[in-house]
Amino acid sequence: MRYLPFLIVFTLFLIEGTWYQMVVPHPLENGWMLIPRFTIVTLIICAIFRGPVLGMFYGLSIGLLYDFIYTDVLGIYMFSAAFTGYLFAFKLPQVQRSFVWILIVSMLGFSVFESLVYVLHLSIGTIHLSGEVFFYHRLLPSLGLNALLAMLLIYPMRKLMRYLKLREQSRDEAV
Amino acid sequence: MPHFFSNKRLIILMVSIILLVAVIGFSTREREELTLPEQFVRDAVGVGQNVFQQPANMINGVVDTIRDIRYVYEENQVLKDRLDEYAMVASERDTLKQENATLQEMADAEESLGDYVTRPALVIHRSPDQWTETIGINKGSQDGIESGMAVITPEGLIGQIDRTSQFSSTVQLLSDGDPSNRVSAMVHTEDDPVYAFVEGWDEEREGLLLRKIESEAEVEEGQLVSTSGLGGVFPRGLTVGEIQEVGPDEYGLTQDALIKPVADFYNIEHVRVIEREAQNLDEQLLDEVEIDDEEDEEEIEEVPLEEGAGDP
Repeated sequence: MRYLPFLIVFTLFLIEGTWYQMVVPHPLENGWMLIPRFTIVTLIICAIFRGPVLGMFYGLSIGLLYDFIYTDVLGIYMFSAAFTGYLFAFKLPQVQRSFVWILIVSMLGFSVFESLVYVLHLSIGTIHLSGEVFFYHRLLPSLGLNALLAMLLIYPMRKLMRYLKLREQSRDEAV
Repeated sequence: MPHFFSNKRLIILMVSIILLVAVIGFSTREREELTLPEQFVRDAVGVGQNVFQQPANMINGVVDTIRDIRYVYEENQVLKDRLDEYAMVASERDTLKQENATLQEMADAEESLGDYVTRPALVIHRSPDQWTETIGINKGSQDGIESGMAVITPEGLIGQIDRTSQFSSTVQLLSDGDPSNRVSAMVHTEDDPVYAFVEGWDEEREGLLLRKIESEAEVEEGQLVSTSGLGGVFPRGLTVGEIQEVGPDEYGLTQDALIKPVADFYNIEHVRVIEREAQNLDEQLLDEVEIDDEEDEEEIEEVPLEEGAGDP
């Protein structure tokens, strides 16, 4: 049960690379790229409830998977995901209580992650895409897509997180 | 981010940035093979991706079938018309094949660059952000896949094997922007074929770039481009695409062309990995012949380059 959040993140990771690729054409006809970052969004939601250290470890492991499976260059995703997971772990009651705050924080996290990956790729020369094209054709459309997903996930994830917390508390009391 | 700005954390951040640079440095140098942990993770996740992909493919297949049913009648009409044509082409092909065989026997040619064996594979993943245009397939070095082999769909060439692990491997698509991603190709003109290189994807005009075409070569729109078999492990004659535009390159020494690929790079489900037979016919002979062969190949490959560069 404790590892359920991670299993969810991992399943989303698999979906990003398989089902999603079959459903959504790439790029869309108007040149937009809808990049699914379901893992990052979910990871940040988890981190908001469980703190920065967990965010960092989730980020490290998911980033490692990205690095190993999709690229030859190691480190880019690992660093970016761990960094975002740690940075956007706003473990504050105000944030946890509000749907809008969680949405805003996770979207901020997504943007930072995506930009970080873009800048790192650019600096080692694997891609040559201008910042403007990146911003308008990739970041903004993907932000929309991931916001949609976040809206779907925030309620069930919050429920799960609260349930896990309750379980832990009751176990502590029992001990 | 109240927890972020303390000394200890800044130090950790610095250390991890240094680590990042080190790891990037380690992995961007020319590597022959993936490290063991990388292979292990790829294979392990590959199993999961396989599980996800199989039912998705099935559903996709059913949807496609339903969509196709609507056009069955029209298609049937067209196909009936073409059936007569087919019989003619088939008999013609048989004669040509026989003729070719006899001619090859006469010329003592034991192996041709056009011979190959194929292995079917299933696409199991594609990078979600597509910064690198690679896809993963469910066959690896255990199935005899080696890095550099050509990968095709029924329509035509889509790329080459980039990295292999035991049970899965990644394919670098022709559209990948990596500078090392080049394929030796030829243009079928009315006279001799013209040799050049397919080098990456043109984002603005949406097509593959064919570069280093000799400036005198008469390359025109609509001509077919296929692999030449000169640049390593690719066999000869895999279709790449059709020429769409021709123009001088940025220095005016050679010509560049834009190719409209025949294969669809976006909806790839099943692929075939191609191994050229010409190289592994005689393992023992190979050792002696290899050196000569390689020299020959390089010479042929460089001809268009040098001539192009020598032009005023």
